[in-house]
Amino acid sequence: MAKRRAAALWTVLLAIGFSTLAETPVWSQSHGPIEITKAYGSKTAPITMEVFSDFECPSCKGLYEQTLKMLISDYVASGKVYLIHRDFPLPMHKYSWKAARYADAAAEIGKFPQVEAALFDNQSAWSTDGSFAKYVEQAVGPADMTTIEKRVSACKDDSGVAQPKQDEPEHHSCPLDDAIWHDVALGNKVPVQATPTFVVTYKGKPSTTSGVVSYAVLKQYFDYLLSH
Amino acid sequence: MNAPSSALDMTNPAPPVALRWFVTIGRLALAAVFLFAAWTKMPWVQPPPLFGMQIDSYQILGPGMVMLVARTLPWFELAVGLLLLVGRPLRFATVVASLTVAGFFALVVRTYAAGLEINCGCFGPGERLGPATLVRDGAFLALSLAITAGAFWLRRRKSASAS
Repeated sequence: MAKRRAAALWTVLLAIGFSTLAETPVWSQSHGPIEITKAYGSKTAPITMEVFSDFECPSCKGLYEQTLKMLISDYVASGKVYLIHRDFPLPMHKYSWKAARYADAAAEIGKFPQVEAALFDNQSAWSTDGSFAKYVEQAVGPADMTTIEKRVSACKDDSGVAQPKQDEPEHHSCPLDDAIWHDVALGNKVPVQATPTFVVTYKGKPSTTSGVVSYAVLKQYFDYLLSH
Repeated sequence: MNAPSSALDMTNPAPPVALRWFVTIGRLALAAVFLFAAWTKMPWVQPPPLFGMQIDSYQILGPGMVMLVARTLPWFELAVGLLLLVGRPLRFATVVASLTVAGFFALVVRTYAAGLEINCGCFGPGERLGPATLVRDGAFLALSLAITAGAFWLRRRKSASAS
């Protein structure tokens, strides 16, 4: 009798364990050190959308300008979608890693939305010469810019290098790079093969799409998910 | 007893056995491709709005047309697959299949040339549109055109042998 009870107890515990795992997408099980401030909306929203993006990629700008801005003011604001920005700077883009450092430093002081908008809105202007800092400063103001630059200055100044090496000991003093590498590692799990790639998770079931999708079509997908 | 005729033997009006086999096997292979492609896009496998997002990422259609294509393309592919499977009328089936495959091939070539980094959506989500997609779709187009030519050739030889 005792054996039967123990077996039943184990069955219930295992069922609870498996159902918890099924509710959580693989790439959301471990959270980055500054994930919360790089996200929009409520974590309890029924839909989670993780966007793996590169600040220097034109299609990422297209997705942000044409779709995500409207999504933030509509589905995110109404608590239906939790939108997470994931850094996935591509090695072929010279300034995207450094831009991600600035965005992540801004995230630490709660200014990520302003910096993300500034970087994408002015992408064509800074992607030729790497002059993104002035647009970041315009977005956050001089006082916050000083804080951001102080955080960024802890990282190795690898001018001319698109992507630092992960194993270099210098980067242990740069939590911003750790945060970016964390997002890159999550992206590799998906796997992200191009930017932008976004993973939509609803009731524990993820679906992955790459490229620019119009807001009208994305909205239909979300409405479909919410009605099922 | 007649020896089996060569596919290139134009002096013998009887349809060559090798060509008949090639058309039959090619037709069935292409039918399998169409049926599998249709299955991966069916509403119970992939919701139409999710397939719609993949169509939308090609950036050629407006949102209204995107959803129309997302809802109808799987059924069209199923119809072409069944038509190829049945093989009657053969020439009609192969021409429809060739036109469809040619349309898909033109679309992936245009998208790749435009530098859009998207998922193909050809056989369900998750496949990146890249050089491998172009090679694969090019091979399908070559097969489709070959069996279409074969179907017309068989018909001509049959007519010639009947007269």
